[in-house]
Order: sequence, then structure tokens, then C-alpha cells
Amino acid sequence: MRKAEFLMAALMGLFSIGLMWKSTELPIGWIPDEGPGGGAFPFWLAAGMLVCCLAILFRWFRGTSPFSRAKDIYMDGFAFKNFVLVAGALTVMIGLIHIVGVYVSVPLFLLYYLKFLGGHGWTVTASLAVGTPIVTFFFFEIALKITLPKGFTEPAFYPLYDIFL
Amino acid sequence: METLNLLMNGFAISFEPLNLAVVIAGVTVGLFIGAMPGLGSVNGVAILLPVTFLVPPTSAIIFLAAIYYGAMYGGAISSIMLGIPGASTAVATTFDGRPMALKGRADYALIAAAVASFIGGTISVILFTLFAPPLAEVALAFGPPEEFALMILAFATFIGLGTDDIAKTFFSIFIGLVMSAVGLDIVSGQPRLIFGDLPGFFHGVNFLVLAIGIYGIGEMLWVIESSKGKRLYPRPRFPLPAPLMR
Repeated sequence: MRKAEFLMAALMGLFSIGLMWKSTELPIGWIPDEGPGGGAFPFWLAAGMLVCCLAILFRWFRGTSPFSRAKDIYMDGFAFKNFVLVAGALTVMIGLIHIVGVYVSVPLFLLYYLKFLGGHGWTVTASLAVGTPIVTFFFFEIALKITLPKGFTEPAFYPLYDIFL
Repeated sequence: METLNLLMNGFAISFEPLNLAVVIAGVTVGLFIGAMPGLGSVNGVAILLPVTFLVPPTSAIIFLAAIYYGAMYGGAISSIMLGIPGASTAVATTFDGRPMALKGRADYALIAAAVASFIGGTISVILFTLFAPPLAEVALAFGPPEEFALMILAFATFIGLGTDDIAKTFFSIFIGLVMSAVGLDIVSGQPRLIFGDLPGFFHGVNFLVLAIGIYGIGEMLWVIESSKGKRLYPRPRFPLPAPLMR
């Protein structure tokens, strides 16, 4: 916990410095007769974030915040492994959406998440992995006429469009 | 007196069989829409607008209102059962409804939310009927200074109600405001913080995206971490017992 608070505060401090640096691409001051420049709000808000991070770090060094004295572990090996597995799978799913489309990547993710991470039976997994894309297709594409990204699988849907639209 | 006459006329219309059927259909659809994280009452009304072409105009308005009210309650369902607010209006329900569900009392929480939703909705409709004309004047007088004051009140409440670590509360407020600054600047029209023309960032960070990221994925990771692969919650009992009968 102790290490986690320090790391998070330091990382967020660096992030706010990055944001401040990024905001200076636009005027950060007050433009006469116009109002605040485009970068003013992000810059000064990020400056506020930085001040807060410094305050958190200061309290950490003095040991006054409850987390800076906590001895328990923030993330044990089990939690970290699972975090990587889930976050990685989510990233892969979102990346795949643009290549193979929603209707392939979502069932794959559900299969992985329900069966291999969640330990659910094949009945639950298969029904959800097959049912979700079908419901999604009819709800979004047919009922609401919202097309979802399909990647290179797009031509496979033309016959379906011909039938239902 | 004229208001009352019009009101009675409205009641007569709303009790027609078609309109009652439309209310039931609308509330049912609204419940599902509200319970889906990301789709709120406003989105629900917007996406189901085409459906209303099938019925007469009055029934269409009744249908939309029914969807709205159904979605208002539906948001509480996912707040309580999943810990993910189904709509932005149901965020507060996660604070107390979720812990109740974790103790195996989800049925009480759902009924409490339904009753509260019904009472609150009824009172607001009655008050709105009576005070609509004077309220309209107040609404028109509600300009940027008043909105600013409201925001300040909200932030002051966060700091007052937050933990004793004020720096973290301030940090959260600042990072939220920075995220709202992403996209086109309203004053100068220049794009800011778009990180090399990332397509989504141009329009700013949507509330929906934030809610799914913070509540949806956060809850998912938390469940995995704290369950250690075991079942964490008591299985829901079906049919749900009726606590009000006991």
C-alpha cells in the first residue's frame, strides 16, 4: 500500500507535468478582448493536479496519510496476474474490433473471459458467445440502423443486409 | 381552474386502452434500456423515436414518457446488481444499493429503489403541474452565474464529504476538469489535448466512456481481485421474495 501510494502520486505528478507541457502548445494566458487562451484551462488545472500530487507526496514522506503507514499488500501475485490477463484481453479485443470486427472479437473475448478466466460451463459460455452477437446485430444494425465496425468480415454481412434491411 | 380541466381531459385520454398498452410497453422497454450501462433515459428516448411513428401523436408522447420513466428506474437495477450505474442518474444508487446487494439483500434494495422512484416521480409530476408557469421564469433566470455557483457547491460538497485526504479529492476534481477540457476549446475553437489527432479525442471525452471505464471495468477488475476465483456473492433467489408482504 505504502509503495503503491508513492508510485501513483509520482506517476500522476509526471502525468500532470506532461499535460502542462502539452497545453503550452496553445496560449495559456489571458488574451485581451478574447478571454482565456485555448490552453489556459488544461494548463492551470494540470498545475492544480501537480500541486495535489506534491501535497500527497509530502504527506507520504511525513507519514501522516493512512496509506503511507499501511503495511498490507496492494496487489499480490494472484491479483496482478489476473489484472494482466483481463486488461490484456480487453486491449486485444478492442484492437481486434478494427481488424476482424465486433462480431468476431466479442465472441472470442467472451469465450476467453467466461470459460478460461471465469470457469463457467460450456452451456453458459456458448450461449452467451453466440447470443450476444446475434442480439447486438438485430438491435443495432437492424432495429436502430447503427452500423458497427466489422473489419475485413464486412462482405460476409451483405447477404444479411439484403435479407433484413 | 382551466389547468384542472385540462388535467382531467389528459387523464381521460391516458386511460384509453391503446395508451395504457403503450405505457406498459414503454416502461418495459425503458427498464431494459436503463439497466444497460451506457444507455440512459435520454439515449433511450432518442433511439426509439422512430418506433413512435407507428402510433398516433398523443400515444407517441406517452410512449416516450413511459420509456423515460422506465429507464430512470432501470438504471438502479444494474447499479444494485452489478455495481455499474445503468445511467448517469443512477450513480448515487451504487453507493448504498450495491452494499445491500453484497449482503444478499438485493431484493430490498430493488424494491426500495422502485418505491423511491415512484414516490419521487409522482411528487415531482404533481409539483410540476402546479408550478410549471412560475418555474419557467426561474429556469429562464438560471444563467451561467447560477450554474457556476452550483458547480462550486458540488465541488465544496465533494471536499466536505470526502475522506480526510483532501489532496486526493482535489486531484480527482482537477483530473475530471482536465478531461472535460479535452476536445475543441469553446472560446477559440482550437483543438486541445487531442494527442496527435486521436479521432475520438476531438469530440472530447464522453461521459459514457468514463462511466464504463471507471465503473464497468473497475468493477470487473475488483471482482476478480477480491474473489480469488471463488464465487463472491450469494446466488440470487428466484422468485424474489416480497419483503413488503412479510
